[in-house]
Amino acid sequence: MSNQSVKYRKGTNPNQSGFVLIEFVVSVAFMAILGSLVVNMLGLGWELNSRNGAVLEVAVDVSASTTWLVRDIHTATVTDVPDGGGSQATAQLTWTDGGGAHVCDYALVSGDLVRTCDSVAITTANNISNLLFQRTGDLVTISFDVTSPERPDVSENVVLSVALGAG
Amino acid sequence: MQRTTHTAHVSIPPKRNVKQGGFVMIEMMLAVAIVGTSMFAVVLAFSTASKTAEFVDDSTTAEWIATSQIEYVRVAPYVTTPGTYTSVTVPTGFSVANTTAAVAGGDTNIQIVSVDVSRGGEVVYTTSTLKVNR
Repeated sequence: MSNQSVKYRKGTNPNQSGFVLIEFVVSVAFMAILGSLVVNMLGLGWELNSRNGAVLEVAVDVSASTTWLVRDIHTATVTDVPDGGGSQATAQLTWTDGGGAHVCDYALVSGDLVRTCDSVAITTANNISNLLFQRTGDLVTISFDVTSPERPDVSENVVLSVALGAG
Repeated sequence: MQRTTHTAHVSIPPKRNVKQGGFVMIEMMLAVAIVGTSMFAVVLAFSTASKTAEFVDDSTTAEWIATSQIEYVRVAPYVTTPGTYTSVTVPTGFSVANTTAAVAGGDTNIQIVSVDVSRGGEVVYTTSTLKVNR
């Protein structure tokens, strides 16, 4: 057996001479095509993963920002947002309940939506920009953008209307 | 025994060695089919991931559209069943519609308002509320 294989490697048998150049070229070309496909897919997978993460992040911030706002506007009976007037970047909501009179201010502080109620400030949502309040009668309309910090192309423009004093 | 002898006899032809014959057509086709199937699986997985992100994106938008419509109905004057309320403004690609229905018992001063938010003609979010005439 080993004698035979030594003989083949020496090329004494023309049927055992290994790959010819054309076979080698074809296989290299095939592998290159496969390789480029795999690299493309990896790139696509990375892009998808990053985009999906950003979409989820934005969805969480939209949900967080609206939860507090809807609750407070429902509770409030008075707001400083002028009826039928222009829009403004902050809103003050006031109401009186069993615990006495309450004053709540909403404002943007470097991308965070900050709710300051009775001098206690909390951040209700992040990555917010272009916050504007408007009012028509009892309907307060809040407009803002939520943008993923890692992916500026993933953004949601929210235009939410909430009934004042409906809760 | 006969057979062994026979095989041994033809297995060493001078110009054709079966063990070194390279790939045959069926092997080549099998290989291509396997590689093709696995690639298809990967592409399918990506497509599913992409659709999931789109779904989350649409749901987020549809949810605040529905909230806005419900809030609009709250402050709007009572519309007699089966009338509808004015639709709020929605982003491009979305649409919102509402219907009113009577409640059981025949009280005409209370109604169920259903809100459907659609994207590309397909309903993506549905919610409803009770509206009282007061």
